[in-house]
Amino acid sequence: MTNRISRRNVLKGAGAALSIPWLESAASAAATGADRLSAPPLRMACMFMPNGVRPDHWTPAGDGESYDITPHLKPLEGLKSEFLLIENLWNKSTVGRNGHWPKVPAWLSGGFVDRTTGGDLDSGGTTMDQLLAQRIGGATPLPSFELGIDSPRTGVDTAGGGFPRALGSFLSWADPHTPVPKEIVPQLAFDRLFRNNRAPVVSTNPQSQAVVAALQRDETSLLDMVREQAASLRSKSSKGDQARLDEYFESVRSVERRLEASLRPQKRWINEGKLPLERPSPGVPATHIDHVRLMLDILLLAFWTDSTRVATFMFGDAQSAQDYSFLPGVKGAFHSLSHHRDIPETRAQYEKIVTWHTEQLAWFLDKMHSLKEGDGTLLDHSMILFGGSIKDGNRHIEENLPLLLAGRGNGTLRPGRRLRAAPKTPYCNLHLALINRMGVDEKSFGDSTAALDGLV
Amino acid sequence: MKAILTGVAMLLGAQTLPAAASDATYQSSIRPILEANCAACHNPKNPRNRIDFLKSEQAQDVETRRGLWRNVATQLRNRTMPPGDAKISEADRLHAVNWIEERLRTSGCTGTEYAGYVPPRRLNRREYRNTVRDLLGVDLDIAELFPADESGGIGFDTNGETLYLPPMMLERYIEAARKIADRALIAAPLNRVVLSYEMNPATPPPGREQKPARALKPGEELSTDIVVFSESQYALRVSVERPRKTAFTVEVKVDGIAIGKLSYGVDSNGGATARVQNANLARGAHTVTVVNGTEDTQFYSLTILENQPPVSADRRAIHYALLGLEPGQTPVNPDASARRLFADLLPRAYRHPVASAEIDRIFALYERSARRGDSFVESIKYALQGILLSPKFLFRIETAAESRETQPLSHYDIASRLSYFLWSTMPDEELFRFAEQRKLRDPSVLAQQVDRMLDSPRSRAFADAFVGQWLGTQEIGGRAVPLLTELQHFYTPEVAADLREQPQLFFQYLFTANRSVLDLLNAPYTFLTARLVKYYELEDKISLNGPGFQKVDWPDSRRAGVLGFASVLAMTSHYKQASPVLRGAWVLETLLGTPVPPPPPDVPPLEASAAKGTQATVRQMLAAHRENTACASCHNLMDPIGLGLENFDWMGRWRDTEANGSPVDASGALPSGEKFNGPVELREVLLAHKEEFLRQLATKVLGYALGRGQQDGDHCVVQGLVTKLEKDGYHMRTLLREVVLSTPFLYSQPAETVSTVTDGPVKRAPRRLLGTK
Repeated sequence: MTNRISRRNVLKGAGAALSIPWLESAASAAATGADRLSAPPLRMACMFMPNGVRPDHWTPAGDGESYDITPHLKPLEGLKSEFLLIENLWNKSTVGRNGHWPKVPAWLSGGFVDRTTGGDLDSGGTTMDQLLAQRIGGATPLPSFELGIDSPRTGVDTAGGGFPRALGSFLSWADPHTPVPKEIVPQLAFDRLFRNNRAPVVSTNPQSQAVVAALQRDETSLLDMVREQAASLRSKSSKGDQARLDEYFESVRSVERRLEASLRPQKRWINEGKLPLERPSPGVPATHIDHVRLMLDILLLAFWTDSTRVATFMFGDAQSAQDYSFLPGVKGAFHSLSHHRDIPETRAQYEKIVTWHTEQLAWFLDKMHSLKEGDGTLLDHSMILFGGSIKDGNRHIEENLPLLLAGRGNGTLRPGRRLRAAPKTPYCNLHLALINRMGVDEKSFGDSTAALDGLV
Repeated sequence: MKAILTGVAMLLGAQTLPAAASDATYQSSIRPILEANCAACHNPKNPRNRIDFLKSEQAQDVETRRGLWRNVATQLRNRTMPPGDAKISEADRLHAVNWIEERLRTSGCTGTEYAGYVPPRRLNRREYRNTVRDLLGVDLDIAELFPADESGGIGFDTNGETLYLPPMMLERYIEAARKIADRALIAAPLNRVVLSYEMNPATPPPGREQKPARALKPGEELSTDIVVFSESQYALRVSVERPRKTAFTVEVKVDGIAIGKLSYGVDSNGGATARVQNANLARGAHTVTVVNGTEDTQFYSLTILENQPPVSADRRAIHYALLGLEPGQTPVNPDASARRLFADLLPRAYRHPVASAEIDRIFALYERSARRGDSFVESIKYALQGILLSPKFLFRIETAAESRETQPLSHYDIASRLSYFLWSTMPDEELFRFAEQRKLRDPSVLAQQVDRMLDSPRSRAFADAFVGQWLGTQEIGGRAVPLLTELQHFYTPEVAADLREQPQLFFQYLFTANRSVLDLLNAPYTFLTARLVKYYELEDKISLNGPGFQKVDWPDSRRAGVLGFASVLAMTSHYKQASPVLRGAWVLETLLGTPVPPPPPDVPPLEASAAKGTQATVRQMLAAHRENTACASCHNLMDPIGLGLENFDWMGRWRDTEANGSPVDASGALPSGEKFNGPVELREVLLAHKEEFLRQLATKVLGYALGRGQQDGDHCVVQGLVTKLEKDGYHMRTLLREVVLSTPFLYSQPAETVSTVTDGPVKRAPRRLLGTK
């Protein structure tokens, strides 16, 4: 449910913007006690940065709770009191083999990624964001929201260990075999936030209420029909065919459930006020930075409007070959510069690229911090995990992953310090701690040994 | 994974490898190697050991347990087994894996004809776009609508196993279906006049002599409910009596939200006047409210008019053709017309005859909409969305074989296989007609159809998709070559597009002109634009007349075949540095079908093993690298091939000198001792042993056509294709025709009877979610 101002702008429909998405209007009228949360909910986003960092420019010296800001973290200096630097976690199942591809699906699942030729992707696990989507996603119009920048890569990297490159493009996995594609086109991502919010019932006329009710069910009725058709096809088909039809069937069910849920009043948090974000134009912005920031803005809007509470964002896919020559002093692409071979000039360029990422993060966190809601800020009511799947981009080191966790997690996190876990603590311990904070009661996740201690 | 070194061993005559996988070798060395390295875990005497390949005491047992043994070979090849710190030597590993693969390959054709099994495939986004275009005349921008499709197995987006359909994709299909229906059919624009007394709260209609105006006090409001079907912009026109003394405003609200104020200026003559407020309205019911300002006002009416852009003649034609009506005509009996429309459309949409129950299903959607009072066109649009979301439209589902035997496909399934193979779209009328006449199992009809389809401009879809994905050149202009300011004097997006198109036109020419497939290796001609002539630095040798691509002969033979394409050469380079390793691996993998295994763990990086001097050339660094025996086994093959292409720089342009000014050394020697210098001689070496290339090309075309990964039994089919090619002068059309006539293309066997070990493992049921009970 969104704010009135943009709703009004939408209705006024400036110029040729004919297919502006349709924000809910019922918000203002119908959002009374029953549909409204009395306090802001907890949101979680996991943000992935490819190609590692320069370890000594990320991890501060010493081992106390307080620390001196390091070069990579410099852009976040003003927000130092808002995030936890988390050290010594690793994903044991990703050690060795390939430096990039299998480490991406494992980043949020801790699973052991199988080496296949692409016909059967196997990430070894459901990622924690998708676990949350399956458990608590029904509370919001979008169970989860996956965003990114790069379009998926294809083929098998035979020279790099025989892994399908696609593994490096999907951070979120609904089950070990089903990657969840991310939105990379801003307009499509934006529209997705408002796709379900159709056909507001404002009219008091009973006849038009009936029409509205029928219109609202148009999509579910279509899905009913095709689901029946799939079921009847399935009953007549061979075992092999059934597997594919099952996937279709499951997707239909999933979308239906979501549509049904959106027709039911959902208890959501409503922010009054303004969050100006125009519907993006079609296509992908011309520059990388515009693209990244627009996607982050959309993510912000999703959280602000309580359209989802679980999100992932990929600053780049594994081995991102994004050209960073737009940065002063940088000539070349991210992945090739990450293998700087400790040549000072090359490494300096790589460092600039990594620090550029923390700059974007700082920009995003600043925005979250400036948005007031309830008794605090949007950032206070969030947990923003940022980091990567390798420590050292040059050497693919898997230990002591570069990670930070921003936000106060609705009072369940105590930011403003570093948290040094015991060396080689399972990264899944952090996942478990986050899952529990999101209100899902699990005793273990992936290779976790316990929920990570010391976050609060 | 296929033989890496076997083929190359034959091709290049490496002496270390066995000429044939003999029984004696199995007994004398293969089995002992495997027993020494595998038996600790895969003990054949342990009843709980299911991976019991060591039970194969005779070489013949390898042939009868093909799936298991192919798995053994793959694990050995990929160094995934034996695990960890096992001590197997590289020589033993290669020796064993080569023997197993050779044995499997040579014994592949002994069984019955292999058909294989193809799972239902979702239309990929290219096919979806083309199919919608041919079914409804609507051309969509798919890149905007759908994410790129995965390619799996054999490396094409036709591969059913990787055409996933996650919920997000289904949402896109819902969105697309709505867009397509809106584009295909033109609904009359909403135009509703609500007279003053019809507004809520309603009053009795005025008498005949009375003015149809309604007096509003300051602040008084009237509203009306409207139902809007299409998301669009609407003009809200408020008609009132002109103010004679004091100007006033009227506010317009939609769904309770004020969206604008209309101002009415003074006119002493009075009379009706109207002002317009535009509003975007979503599909659904809305309440429009008119709120009087601060003056007494005489209100006449509210008009709600959809601002529809003018409809083109083309769209109008599509609209009436689809409805089966003459222009301007409306159906006399809407229900009967709807049913007729579905009966006509569904067999084409589902690419198969339909039972009346299928028509009923769609008609029920139409009825649902029609019975609540939607217009005829709206109701048809709604049903059309159902058709476009149907699994029978979105998937290519072949008629299930009921027996456990290999069965011929239905004529309609063959029609679809043909059209999606060669056109990437639904069958046309002629294919449907032949399917109906049950003629599509007749080889002569099939051959004639292949020729007809290849002659059609639609076959360009095949050329583009196949060659772009096979060679990988479709990546050009995307990730493969960065757009850098310092390159812009010679490399622009237009050049990139031309580089991408060059192999496509070349490939299309191979089948339209029925050239030899060996032209892929050594064609003395190519296709260039003026831009590319400049890019290849051939302005003084080639002059084109006119714009666009033209077929030209290369001035010399250094660029003959695909190895002369700058797209290929640039793609296999690092930034600002040509890579002999990538190029060598590309030739082995892409042209010869021999995937290069991953480097063994703990390989020192190139530069570390060559850190002898800072000025080491790539050649010297590679030579140092090959001193390590673990590296040498593969680099001995990859590097010389790549070094033979050293005359092409990282952007694929010719060079005679290195960056440091020294002359390029493009000489190479294969393990067999064959020496060559430069691309011309390298090509001769490849051409002299063309069988591996033919096998690879046949494998790729078959994989693209079938939409599945290569399965064990396919090796025999591929061998058959190669033999036919050799007998028939290597003509491209022979290959395409024989693929269509092959058993896997025309037959299907139940999935259960297919060996589960394929080059891409079959999809398993989802595992239980981690972290759940």
